[in-house]
Amino acid sequence: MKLLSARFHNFRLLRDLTIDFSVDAHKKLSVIRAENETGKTTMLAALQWALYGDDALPNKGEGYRIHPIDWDIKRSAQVPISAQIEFEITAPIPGPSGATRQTRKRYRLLRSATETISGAGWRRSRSTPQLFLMGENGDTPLAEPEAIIVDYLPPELREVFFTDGDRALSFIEAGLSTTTKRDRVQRAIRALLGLSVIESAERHVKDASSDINRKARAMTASADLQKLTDEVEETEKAIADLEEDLKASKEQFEHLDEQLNHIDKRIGAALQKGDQEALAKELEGCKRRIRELDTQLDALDKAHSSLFKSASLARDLLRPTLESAMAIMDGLRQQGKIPNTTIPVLYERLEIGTCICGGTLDEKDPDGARRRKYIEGLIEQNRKEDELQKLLTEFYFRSKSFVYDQSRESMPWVQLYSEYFAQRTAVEKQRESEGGRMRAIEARIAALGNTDIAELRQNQGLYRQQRDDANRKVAVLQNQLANRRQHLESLTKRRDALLKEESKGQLIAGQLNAVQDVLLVLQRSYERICNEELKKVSDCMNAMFLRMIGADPEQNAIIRKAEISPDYDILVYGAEGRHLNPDQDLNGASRRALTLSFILALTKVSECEAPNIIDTPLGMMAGYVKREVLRTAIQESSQLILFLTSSEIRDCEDILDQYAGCIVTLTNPAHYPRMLVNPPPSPLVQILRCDCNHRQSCRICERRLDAVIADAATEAAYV
Amino acid sequence: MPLTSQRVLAIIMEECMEREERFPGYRKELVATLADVLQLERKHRVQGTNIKQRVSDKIGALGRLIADSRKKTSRGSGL
Repeated sequence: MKLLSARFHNFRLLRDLTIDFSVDAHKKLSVIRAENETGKTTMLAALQWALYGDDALPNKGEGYRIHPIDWDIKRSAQVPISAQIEFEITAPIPGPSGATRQTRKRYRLLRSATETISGAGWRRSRSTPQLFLMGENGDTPLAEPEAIIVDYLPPELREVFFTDGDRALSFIEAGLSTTTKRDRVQRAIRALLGLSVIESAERHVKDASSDINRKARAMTASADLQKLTDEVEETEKAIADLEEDLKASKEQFEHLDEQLNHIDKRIGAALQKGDQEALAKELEGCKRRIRELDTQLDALDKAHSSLFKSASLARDLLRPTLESAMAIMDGLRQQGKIPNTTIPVLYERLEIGTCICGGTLDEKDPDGARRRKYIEGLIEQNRKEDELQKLLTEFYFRSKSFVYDQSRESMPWVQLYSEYFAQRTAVEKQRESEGGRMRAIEARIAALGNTDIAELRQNQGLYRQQRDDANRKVAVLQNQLANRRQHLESLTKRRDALLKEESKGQLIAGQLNAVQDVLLVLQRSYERICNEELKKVSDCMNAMFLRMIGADPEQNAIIRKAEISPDYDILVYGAEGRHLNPDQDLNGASRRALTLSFILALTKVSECEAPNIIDTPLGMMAGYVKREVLRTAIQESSQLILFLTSSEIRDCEDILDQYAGCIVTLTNPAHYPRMLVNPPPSPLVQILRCDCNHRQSCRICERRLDAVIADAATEAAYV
Repeated sequence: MPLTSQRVLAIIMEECMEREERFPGYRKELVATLADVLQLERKHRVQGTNIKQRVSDKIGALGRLIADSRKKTSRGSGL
């Protein structure tokens, strides 16, 4: 299928808009250039609504208004809405000789509805599609248009053919369970490769087989044949039951395996943060150490404070003054002025009665009396100077011992101070470090939340046991199934032989052969599609993805490979086969490139000729990756329709020059005057279309930023 | 012809070629039956047809061809 054109009428801001799409095989890209809030997403919704009806609208159409928000209710309360798509289908028609030839047919699909506005609310009539086969002699209406649409663009593939940069990520996005992502990938693959059709065909062929068996049993036949037919039917039923059981057991195993992986990850993550019990012990030890250090610090604080009251501080501070004072006092001592010993000596002499010079101090002797009087005079004189001398003497002797006697403290104050300071700094540092450690442990404990590792481990054991049981059951069922199938084969052969012998049995035998062959072909085809085609999709996705992101596995690229596993997981590998989580380890551009590769690979491998319509696929991309994503998407699509903003187009203009067969520009007049240069031609709020390509602008679409860039370019050229 | 059927049909054709040629032209008939069955399935998805009966009819028709060919072979061999 290729889209030829689309026309929208009263679909939100698309009041009256027609777009043509390129069907040129060499220029298969159509570009709708539109800035934000210019109807890109609306058009994507309108196209899907035209093809699939209300179910394709956001929230399945519930509460989703289609009519223009500024609709003039005075004109009419009823708003006619329509979306029309013209498309062509090229399909092979098998010829009588087995060779196929291509036929091309053009169709026009028109979906319409009416919304009736009442007050602030509105209601929408059921939308009806009409399909016409376009011909030279006019259009022919076709019955059951949904049947044709569903055939060519299955609804389950809507996300593959109609997507946007963000929605494409739904195949790998974070926050979804593995099962959900796997289901999405599996659903897309099954639908695009036609697996669901084969599954339902297989189911109905099995029903037909049962019918034929019943007929065989109902036939008047020999007891042997009767018995064999019953046994075949029983075995077929048993096989069907076993297949159901096997499917259920496999699902159970996968579910339990996923649960187990989840618990393993939780335990791993919790253990990385730390074991709660161990952390609590560590915290207690840390607090104890902090208490010890605080005690040490207190002691050092006290010692440090007492140092300021110590004699050594005074001595060290007063030493220069004291030393000069001591020098003076030493002089006084040498002069005999201190210590003050004159009075006792004089008294002693008076008592002895002999002077220092040896003369008598006898009062009766005139000389002695004179000397005695003199000495008494000296005593009187010395007594006057005594107080000062006493003080000086005391000061001298005390200072002498204070200044020169260092035996009481082993080191000078400054050294003591330095020592205490160093000790205090060291302890404070340890205290700080322990404090930090305590906070870190507390943070780790807080981060653990309510994770109870012991309970998780208990659940882990439980799940492991259940998973292993389920796995064993799968193995047993597979074995039973193989035995039953083998038994059925032998029964069928014997039954067919007996049937052939009976004339009435010929037809039944033929039908049984036919049903066996049809069933076998369906089963083998299904298996092949699952294995071979999935591998092809995987390889194709890998090649496209690596090309898009410019990763060369031979050149030490970080990303080496992407694949779809047999369980439908999209996996990415780095160096040495290390697993990278697509939704966590890849950047935004690579994630988009991966999902676009998946979509394009699916379309390519299924050999579907269907359009890929993508809204803003190049967001979050720049440079090489952006250009390669665009180039690859063009190369791998049968028809590519892109909604691009100017910034997405930037640096890719030459690619558009080469591959775009059709480019139009959409403008929202509501952007005047802030973003648009010129006033809109009509006051009506509606998306306007002009034929400007990615390098042009006109009165309708010229934007302020464009004008600034153009002015700058002119200025640069002038300079 | 639906777009998704082309690849499927190619594989089915290959698988049919692996089946026993029960009578001359049987494999082609098998391919045609399977193509019809898949077509019926697709139609059933949107139209809700009596799919079981239709599939059964297709299989029955193929079975009749096998039975007829056997009868001819039996008559030809004088049995």
